[in-house]
Amino acid sequence: MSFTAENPRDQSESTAIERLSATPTVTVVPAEALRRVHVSIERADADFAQLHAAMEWQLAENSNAAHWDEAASRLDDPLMETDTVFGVTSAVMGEGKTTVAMHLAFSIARNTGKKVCLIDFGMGDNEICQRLGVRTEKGVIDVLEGRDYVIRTLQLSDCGDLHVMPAGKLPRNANKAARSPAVTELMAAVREIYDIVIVDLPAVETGNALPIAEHLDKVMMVVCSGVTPKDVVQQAVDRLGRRRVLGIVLNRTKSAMPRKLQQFLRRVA
Amino acid sequence: MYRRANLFYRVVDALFRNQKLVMTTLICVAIPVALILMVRSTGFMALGAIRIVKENEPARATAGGDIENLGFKSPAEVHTGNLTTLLLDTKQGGFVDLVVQRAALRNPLKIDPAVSDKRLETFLKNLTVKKDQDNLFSISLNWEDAAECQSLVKAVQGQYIEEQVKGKQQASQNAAEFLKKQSEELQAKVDAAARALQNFQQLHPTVGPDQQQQTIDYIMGLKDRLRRARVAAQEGSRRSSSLTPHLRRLPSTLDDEPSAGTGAPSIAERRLEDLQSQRTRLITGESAFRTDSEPVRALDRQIAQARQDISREKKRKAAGKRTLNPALERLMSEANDASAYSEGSALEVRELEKQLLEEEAKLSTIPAIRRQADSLIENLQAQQAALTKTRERYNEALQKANLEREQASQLLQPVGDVAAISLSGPKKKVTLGLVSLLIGAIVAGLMVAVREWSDPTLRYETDIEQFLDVPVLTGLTETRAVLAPKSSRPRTSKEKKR
Repeated sequence: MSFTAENPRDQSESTAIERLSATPTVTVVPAEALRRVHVSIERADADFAQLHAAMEWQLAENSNAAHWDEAASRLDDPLMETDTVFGVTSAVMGEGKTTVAMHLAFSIARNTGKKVCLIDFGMGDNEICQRLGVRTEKGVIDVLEGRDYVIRTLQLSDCGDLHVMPAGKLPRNANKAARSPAVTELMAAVREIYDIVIVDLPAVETGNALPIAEHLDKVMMVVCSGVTPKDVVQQAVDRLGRRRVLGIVLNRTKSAMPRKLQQFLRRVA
Repeated sequence: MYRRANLFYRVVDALFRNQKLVMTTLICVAIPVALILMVRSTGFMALGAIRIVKENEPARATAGGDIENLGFKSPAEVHTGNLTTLLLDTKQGGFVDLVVQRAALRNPLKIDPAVSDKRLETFLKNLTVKKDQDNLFSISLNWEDAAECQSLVKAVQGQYIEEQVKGKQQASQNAAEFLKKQSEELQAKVDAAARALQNFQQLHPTVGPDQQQQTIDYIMGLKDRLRRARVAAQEGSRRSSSLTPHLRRLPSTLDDEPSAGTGAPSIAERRLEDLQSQRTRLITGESAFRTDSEPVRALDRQIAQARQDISREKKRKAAGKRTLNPALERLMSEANDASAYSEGSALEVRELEKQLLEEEAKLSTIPAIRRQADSLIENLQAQQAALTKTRERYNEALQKANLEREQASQLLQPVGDVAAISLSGPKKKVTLGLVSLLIGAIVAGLMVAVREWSDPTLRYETDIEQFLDVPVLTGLTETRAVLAPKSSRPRTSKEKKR
C-alpha cells in the first residue's frame, strides 16, 4: 500500500522526508518507505465489549457511566474536524493512559460508527493486546525498528469499526524507535485509512512522547488524582506545548466518603 | 460534567480521606487534654458576685449607646481593675492580709515577706476576678478545701465592699474637713480685716464720704471770715487815725453843757446811738458777725461804757460840778475803741490764717486716708464674701458627705450566697470530656487543613483549571483493573523469560 501525505505539518517534522517541490504543502514520502510499510488487517476475537461494559458498570456504581462518551464527544467536536490523530500520554508512568486510550477508542467507535484505530506506541510489552487477551507476535515496534514492513492491524469483533495496532515486542532501543522515520509513514498511512486515530503514547518523563507527539494533531494528558504533583504535570504540559494539549483526563479520582453521602452532596451541589 | 470541587464537598472529602489522621489526633489530643483538665479541676470552686448599684449611670446616659468605642469603662471593669490591684497588696496589713484575717482559716495563710507560702501563691493564682455584666463582677476561687474556699471568697467579697465604703466615706469627710479648715482660716482673716478697719476709723473718726466737701466748705467760710476781719482791722486803724486830729482841737474841760436847756441829746447819748447802729450793722447783713465774735463783743463793751458815761454825766449835772469835755472824752473813747477794734481784728486775722493753714493741710491728706479706708473696707468685704462662699461649700460638702455615707453602704451589694462546688462531679467530667473532644476536633481540623493546604498534587477538576489553565475532558473514578481472562492473555516478555 502506498500513499502520499499532504498534511502541511509533516513538511517541517522529519529529516527523512525529502522535499521534492517548492510548494510548502506537498511532501512526498521516500520511495523506500513506500515500498517498505504496508498495513494488513486481520480479524481477532476479543471480549473488549465485555471489558468496557464491566468498566462502565464500575464507573456507574461510583458516579455515572457517561465519562467515556463525554470525552469522546469532545474529540468528535465539529470544531476539530481537521484533527484526526489524538495521542494519550501522561506526565509519569502508571497514570492509566493505556486504559483511557483503549476505552476512549472503543467509545468513539461504538457511538459514532467511525473507523477508529488504536495504536500502541507505549513502548511497553504489547500492553493493549495483553489486556485484550489477543496473541500477536509482531506489531508497530517491529516496523519502527525495521524488522518488518507490514503493520498488522487487528479488527476486534463486536467493537464497531475499531482496529488495534499492537506494539509487538519490547523495543530494543525505545528512544531510537520513537524517533524512527517510519513514524511519519505510519501516521500518514493511518490518516489515510482511518477517521479517528488514538495513539497510546509513552509517558512524557521517558522523553519518547515528544518525538511521536509532533506527528499528532492533539494530545490529551492523563493525570492520576492525588498522586501526580502539580509542577510535574505543569512541566509535562509545557514540554508538549499548550496549544497541542487538548485537555486533561483526571483519572482514579476517589473519595473516602460513603456513597450515599456523596450522592447527597452531589444533589446539593 | 459534574464538578465536585465545591468547598463543602472538599471539606467533607478531606475529613473522610484523612480519617486516620483525624482519629489519631483526636485520641492523641482529646485524651491528654481531658486528663489535664480533670487533674486541674480537682478541689472546689466558690463564686461570689458583686452588683454595682447606680454608679456611672449619668455618664453612660450622656455617652449614648456606643460607649465602648468612646473609651468608657463600665463600673464592673473599674471595680475589677481596683480589686486586681488590691490583690497585689500582699504586705502585712495590706488588703490580702485583711482578707486572710477576715477569712479566719483554721490553717491561715502566712503573709510574711520573709517566708514564701505556697498556699498564698496558690490562692493568688487561683483567684479570678472578672466582669460579668456592666454592673456585675464576680470573684471565683479554686481551692482544695470547700469551707476554706467559701470563707476566702466571702472574705474577699466583704473586704472589698468595706474598703470601697471606707474609701468613699473618707473622701467625703476629707473634703468637708478641708472646707472647714478653709472657712476657719477665712474667719480669722475677716476678723483681722475688721480690726484693722476699726483701728483706722478710730484714728480718723471724721473721715467719711462727705468729709472732703465739708472741709472745703469750712475753708471757704474761714477765708470769708478772714477777708472780713482784715477789712475790720483796716477800718479800725483808719478810724483811729482819723480821730487823732479832733482830739487835739477839742478843749479838755467844759464849764457849761453847751446843749443844756436845748433839749438836744448829749454827746454821750449820740455816741451810744452810733455804737448801737454800728452793732446792728455788724450782726445783720450778708456777712454777719456772730454775737460772740470779737468785734461785736468790743462794740458791746463800748456800748456799756457809753451807757456808764451817760449815767455819770447825768449825776454830774445833778451835782452842778465842773466836768471834763465830754466830746473830748467821747473822741478819746472812740479812738481807744477804734484801736482796740483794730487790734482785735488783727488778732482774729492771725487766728483765722492759722486755722486756714491747718484746714488746708488736712484737706490734702483726706484722699490718701480715704483710699486707705476704702481698701480696708474692700478687703473686709472680700474676706466676708469668701467666708460666706466657703461656708456654703462646707455646708454642701457636709450634706454630700452625709448622703454619700448613706449611699456608700448601698453602692456595692453582694449577689446571692457564696457556696463551694465540687469540680470533680460526674456532670463536670462529662463537660470536660466534651470540651476535650471539641479541642481535639479543632486540632484535627487544623491538621487536616494544613495537610490539604500543603498537598502538592492535583486532586479535583477545579485544581487543574486553577493551576494549569487547561480544560478538563473528564474525571474517572478509581476502578478495579478490567482485564481479559488470564488464560486467554498472551504471555508477557517476563513470563517468557521465566
